[in-house]
Amino acid sequence: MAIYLISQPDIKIDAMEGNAGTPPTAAVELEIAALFEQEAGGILRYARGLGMDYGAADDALQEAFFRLFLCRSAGQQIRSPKAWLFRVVRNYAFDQSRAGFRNNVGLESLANLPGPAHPAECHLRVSDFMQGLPQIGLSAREMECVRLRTEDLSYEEIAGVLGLHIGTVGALLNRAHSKVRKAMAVRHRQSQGFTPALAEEKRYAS
Amino acid sequence: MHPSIAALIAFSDGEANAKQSRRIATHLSRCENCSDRLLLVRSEKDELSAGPAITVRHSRKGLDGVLAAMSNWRKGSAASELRVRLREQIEMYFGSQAVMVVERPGMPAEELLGRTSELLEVFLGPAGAESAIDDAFGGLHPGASEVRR
Repeated sequence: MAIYLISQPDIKIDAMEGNAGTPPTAAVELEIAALFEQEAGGILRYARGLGMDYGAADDALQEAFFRLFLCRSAGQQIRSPKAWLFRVVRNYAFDQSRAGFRNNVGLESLANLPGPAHPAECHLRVSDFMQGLPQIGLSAREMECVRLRTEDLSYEEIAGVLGLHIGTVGALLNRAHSKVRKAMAVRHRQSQGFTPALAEEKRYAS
Repeated sequence: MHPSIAALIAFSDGEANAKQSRRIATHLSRCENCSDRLLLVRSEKDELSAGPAITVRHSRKGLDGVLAAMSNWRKGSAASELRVRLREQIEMYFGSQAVMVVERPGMPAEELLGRTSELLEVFLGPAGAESAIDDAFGGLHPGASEVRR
């Protein structure tokens, strides 16, 4: 008997069939290895985006894949393993945050990401633009949607990770774009020596 | 009629349905203004995508860490620890007799996990079940740093 969980439609459980529904160990290992090669980079990046340091992000990655292994070994069918892994990492990050473990974890800390520990990791620095997202007024939810979309998750998968409706994901991305557009316009004006302060002066002078 | 920005974003992300996509594509072929708006949406997306270039190689433990954890799981005590924790969860929510109903003698920990997840899901809902299973998993990864407990 296969059961789809009502509000986690990416998960189907075959567990009631006992061992009959359990995939062979070697197949699970191959599946995990292939997924790791494919998704580990994006998951690490996402974990870093949640404010975790490199060690914690790596732990989250390991934990997510280990849990996937356990769930797959238990015979759970996971329709979108990628979204599932991102959701586990997200829960793990918030668990750590609640436990006050290691560094501050949370989207609010995005702007205060520590610099890389090694010079070789300099290219891992979150871009200036991404660091500036909280300053341009993107809410935590909007940032999460943006981050997940940049990891090529579909709207449905993003909705699954964040526990939202698909329509809400679209609306949040639309709002994020609108804020980014305004920020880009300001940046463009500033790069041309046209600052808001100057503009104000001109307006009041006229 | 011009498509909204939201529709252009969905189109750009490949999230518009087939009918919508056809309509927008047709419109774009003859509307320079909307084509420019689409370019703007794409440039905004590029800006947002400019995240750090992290690849799988940046995981210090890497796939070896996961495979070692899986191997240790089979050999080690983590499986029995998980079994104990799952029993605790079942007892906490459904009473000690429920453990005997859910768990058969000699049942592997993975199977007990599947059955417990299903039971919790039905009675506590997905969020409650996820939280309870998270509790059972905490710090079980043989190679991970201690998270809780």
